[in-house]
Amino acid sequence: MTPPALRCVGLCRWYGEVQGLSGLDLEVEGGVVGLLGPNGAGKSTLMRLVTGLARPSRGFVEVFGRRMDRPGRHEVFRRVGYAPGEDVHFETERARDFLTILAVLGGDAPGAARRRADAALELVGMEEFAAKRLDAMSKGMRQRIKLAQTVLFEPELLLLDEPLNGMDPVNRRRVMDLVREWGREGRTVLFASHVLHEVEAVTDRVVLLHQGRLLAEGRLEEIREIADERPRRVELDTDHPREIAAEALEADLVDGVSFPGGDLLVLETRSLDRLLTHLERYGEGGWISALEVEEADLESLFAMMVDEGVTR
Amino acid sequence: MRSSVLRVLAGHSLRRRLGGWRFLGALALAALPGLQLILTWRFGDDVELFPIYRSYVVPLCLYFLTPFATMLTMLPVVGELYESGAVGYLYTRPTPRWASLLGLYLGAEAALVLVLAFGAFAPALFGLTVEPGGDWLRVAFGLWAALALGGLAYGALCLFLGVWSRRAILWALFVLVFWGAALGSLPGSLRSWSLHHYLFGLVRHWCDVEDAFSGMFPPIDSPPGVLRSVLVLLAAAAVGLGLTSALAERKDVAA
Repeated sequence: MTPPALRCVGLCRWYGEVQGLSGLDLEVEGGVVGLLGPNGAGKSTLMRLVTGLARPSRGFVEVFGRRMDRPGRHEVFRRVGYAPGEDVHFETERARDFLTILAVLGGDAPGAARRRADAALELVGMEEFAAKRLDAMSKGMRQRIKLAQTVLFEPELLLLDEPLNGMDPVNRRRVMDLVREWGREGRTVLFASHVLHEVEAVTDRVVLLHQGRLLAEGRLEEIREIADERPRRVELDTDHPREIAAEALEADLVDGVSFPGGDLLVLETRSLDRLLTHLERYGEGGWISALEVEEADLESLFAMMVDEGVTR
Repeated sequence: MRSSVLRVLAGHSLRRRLGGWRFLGALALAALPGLQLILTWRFGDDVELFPIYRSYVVPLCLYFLTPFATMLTMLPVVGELYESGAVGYLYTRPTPRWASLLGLYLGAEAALVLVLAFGAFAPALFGLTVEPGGDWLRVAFGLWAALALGGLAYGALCLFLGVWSRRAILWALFVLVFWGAALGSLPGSLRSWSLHHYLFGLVRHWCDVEDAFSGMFPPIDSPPGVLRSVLVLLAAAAVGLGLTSALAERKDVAA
């Protein structure tokens, strides 16, 4: 029998007395699975345990049947692509050189690695920035480079840790389209996010983590109903905050607007989908350099779910 | 494991070292021995520079430049990747961790060797210009070779400390300055436990430096031979790399 792409058995991880993950049993195979939870829920801990970057305190992880706490685990990365939550940090490199280095580490000869790097840059729409140094890029651009390194070798399992953070609306849409496409192609994608809307846009299968525990699995509609009653904040970095705010108010897309200073604009909305669609044209016009969807109340939403007994 | 992996990572590591402020700091340190020679030439009364080079510049490179330039260059090589979590980009490839670490180490060593070359050759070239003749280049080359071997050994230990501890700088001061330079110049047999003892062995043979370094340090009655010194320094480098590799297999990458 073919082992699943990812299998966690009784997976625990403590940091001193702090519980990062507690007794997680999970199997993931085929398609996109959203890993949803507020900050500190254990999403990044799970990603690091799955990739062998951290060792479990108890239990184990298998990726394509190979234990990730044993020697020789590096072999499995021929089939896995990982976009960490951490920034790229190889800032002295140009985009193409960074990807070429990683392609060589993946097994390519330098010439083939360069061609593969170019193909990955094209896939994420960054081909014109191939010669740009990473430290001269915006966070959103580096996020796309991060995604490009993930798909260098067309992996069967993709682990994406908050891949949309800091991206402008146009590229968020583009990346979400890519993720859905990978899922349709039969790849397994574990898509971690603290933003319900992002997860909902790419899949209806979710794993909910809260305080290191598995809260629920595969019941997105129920969460949706609870979440719909709560406003969400959208933070924009823009040269035209007042114009955008005025038009959003006029179109009745926002419940509240604030200008925290500088080029920042914060919009509160209960119609997130419509608002993001509305904002896309500003992104295409170059008015918006970064966009973050915050769900500051996800923690309380999850606490409410615990109270209401929404468990798997 | 393919040589291209080592090559691309060494290239990245070298570019990163050369492009950072630490490299400029290390070069500034390496300029001090030359500065000492220039000041002696400018303000000294009828001094011969070649004996000054052997008696003062050589020990300055040995006991001051080597430990501090090595710390500046080698401590952050992997340490900063661990601190930022960016080492995860390398460790999630189908390449063993030790190969990634070795590539990064080799590139940073190349940067360190450049710094040490500047420290050894710049004063020698100045001396050769104002005081032609003599064995300037032979001694400078001997000094550089000895320092480079010392850099290999201490560099590998710095690599280990960078992965092992967030307070790597304190541990490096202890290992390179106290255990290395200070213990290595103590009288008696205790010094043979220090890597600097073997560095001195090389300098003694390759640079014809007197035991006492003009009274700066106590004399050594029987300095170790070249072969033994080279083997000890290479073994120390291998141990440092081995420890780093073993630790990297076990240590968590920071969040």
